[in-house]
Amino acid sequence: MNLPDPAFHRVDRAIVWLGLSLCVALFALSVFIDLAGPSAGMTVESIAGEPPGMRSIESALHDSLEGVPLAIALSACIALVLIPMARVTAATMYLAFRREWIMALIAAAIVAILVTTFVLDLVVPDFPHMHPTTTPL
Amino acid sequence: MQFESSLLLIPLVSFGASLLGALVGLGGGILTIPFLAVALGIDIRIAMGAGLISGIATSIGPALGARSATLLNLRVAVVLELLATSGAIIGATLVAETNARLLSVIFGALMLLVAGLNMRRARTDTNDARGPDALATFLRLDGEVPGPDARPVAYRLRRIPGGALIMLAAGLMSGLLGIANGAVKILAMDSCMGMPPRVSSASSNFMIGITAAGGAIVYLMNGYIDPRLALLTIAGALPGSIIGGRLLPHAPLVAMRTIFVSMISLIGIEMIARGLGARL
Repeated sequence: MNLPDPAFHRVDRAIVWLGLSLCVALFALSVFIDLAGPSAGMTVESIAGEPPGMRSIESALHDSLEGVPLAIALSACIALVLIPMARVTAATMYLAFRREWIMALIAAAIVAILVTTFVLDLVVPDFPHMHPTTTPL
Repeated sequence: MQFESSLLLIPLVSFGASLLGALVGLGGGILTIPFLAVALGIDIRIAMGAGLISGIATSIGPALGARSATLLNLRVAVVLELLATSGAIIGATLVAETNARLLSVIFGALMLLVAGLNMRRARTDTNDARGPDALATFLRLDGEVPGPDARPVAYRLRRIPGGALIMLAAGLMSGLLGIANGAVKILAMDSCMGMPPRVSSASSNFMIGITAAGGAIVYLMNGYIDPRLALLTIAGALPGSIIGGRLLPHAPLVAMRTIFVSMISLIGIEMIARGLGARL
């Protein structure tokens, strides 16, 4: 017997559409703000050089609220990262609803690993203490 | 505002890579990352960060196509993804400590491995007659796939521990190299565990995003995700994966895989050469 059933697919698609809409809206907002204000432009060199320097989810979210285009775009990336996390969370709830306890437990462990890693960045500044370096090939 | 025209190549290449990737059940990152690193000279770690984001977009595209979603084996995806996600987080934490040239050589070697594995991959959904596997039966991992006359055909899985170990390695490589690593996931599912290719492709698409999310969180923490590059990559990856997901049930898998294998073999050799300081 295959799992999941059409009901799960509907919920799964709804999560994807919702997350995707949020992601697109944030990206569009960042581009709009960037175009509206003074901009340094966008070239291959500007991307190939130093990384943008935003290393914390917390600071990216904070700067987003202040209207920094790059931070809003990074928040869109964070929204995209949250979509698979939401999908596996929905799968966990679906499996628990179906009383597939072993599967629900395994799925819950995946959610726990992802959420713990995500939250660690929010509560431990500069975790895991690594410093980006760039070396073109 | 200045906008370099060569940047338009990024969404175009990403579109093609994701379309092909979705059709063969892989992420598009394995093709997009070498383009960014070799052709545009972007730091391989920043390119890998964009590749992970692209992998998530590639993964969610097929979810919008109803047909490929019905092929998903959720139980198998959940069991195997636990190890893949753990591996991805461990692999991603090693990136900052690894030399960019070494990453390039490892990436190229993985591309050649993926090419080899895809040449050996099973070519039909047929399932040979075999007895039930005790662990697969206990976890209820066996399933059904629509046959040529639309009637469901049962399939049985085997060698679950072997598949799980390959999945852990796939997760490690995914985090270390910034790719979703669908190729190795598919190896675990259809070559090792005996899953029909269409089911393993659909299940791989579901798992790719979760593995990529695990690695992407660590890449975010390390500042290896440039949102501008991610935006350009997603602009191509998302439509490519959506169209690929809709075409998946009708796709000529063998032809698609042949094109894919040829491309990644050539790029893999180039990546190894660049990592060793040579240019072909």
